[in-house]
Amino acid sequence: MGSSQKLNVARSFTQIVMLIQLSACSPQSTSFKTVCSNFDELLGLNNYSQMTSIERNTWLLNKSLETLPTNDMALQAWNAIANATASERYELYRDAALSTGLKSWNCESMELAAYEVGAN
Amino acid sequence: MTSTAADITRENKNLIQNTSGIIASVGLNQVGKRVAGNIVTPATWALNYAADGSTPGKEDLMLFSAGFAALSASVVVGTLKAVVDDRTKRQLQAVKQKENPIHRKHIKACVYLDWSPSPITASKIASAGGTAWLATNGLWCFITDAKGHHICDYTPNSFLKLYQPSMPLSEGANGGFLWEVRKN
Repeated sequence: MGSSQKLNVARSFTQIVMLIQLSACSPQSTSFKTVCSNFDELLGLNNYSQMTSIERNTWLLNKSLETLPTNDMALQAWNAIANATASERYELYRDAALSTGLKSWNCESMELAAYEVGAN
Repeated sequence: MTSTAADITRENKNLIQNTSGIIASVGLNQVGKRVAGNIVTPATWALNYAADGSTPGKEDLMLFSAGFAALSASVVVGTLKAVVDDRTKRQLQAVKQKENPIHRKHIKACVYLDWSPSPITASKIASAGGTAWLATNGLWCFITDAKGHHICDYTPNSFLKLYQPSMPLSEGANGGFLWEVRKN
């Protein structure tokens, strides 16, 4: 391997490490905002009213997975809370968001429709 | 002759097992074969283990463990023990004192299990078929059987919030169970 190739490998490695560090430092608020904005988008779908609550949940998770890693806290929290009693979901998710250290968190679309997005 | 906790448990095992056994078997029938991604133990199994060392049959275990392989609590419990502070230890000790002696050593703090904040960990536990609760002293706790499997139907003597699978056990999304919140 030539010296320029070694340099390229080293640069690539450094970039990967920086990316990992950046993703690790992302504030939780961004993740919870992402899930909320995906919820906004879900409610705006033309076929929303025709979808079952399981289909809506699957759409939300797939959409969130486009930008969030599977181990993201906001995503994992929704994944678990989607199985909770419908009427409790928003409060549970808000508690989850606040437990990450956020001073405040709310999501109007989720407050409005969390009960109809989930496993039941 | 003084009865030990184990004697009392053994003597009352059938009564307790009949009650929660019905719940568990109804749940299992409803759950079917592809649901229970996580290994879950009804309180009756944990009780049997405490009383006489007996464990659930292979068929029962198959039903409970069918589906995707998820981490059981025993795999990760202990990883974070070193970083749990003295305050948490004191809180946990206080929580244990309110529970039945045979269950005490299997009650853990949610901070032992996961890097997530405890309310999120508790939600994950309930969705995985376990029982987690917010104790009156503010500590989030959960319980396992002697092998580290979650217990789906344990009711602590004291709690502010209890996260627990709905009975009968029913399939939720993504390999989890439907669960509910009880508040005191």
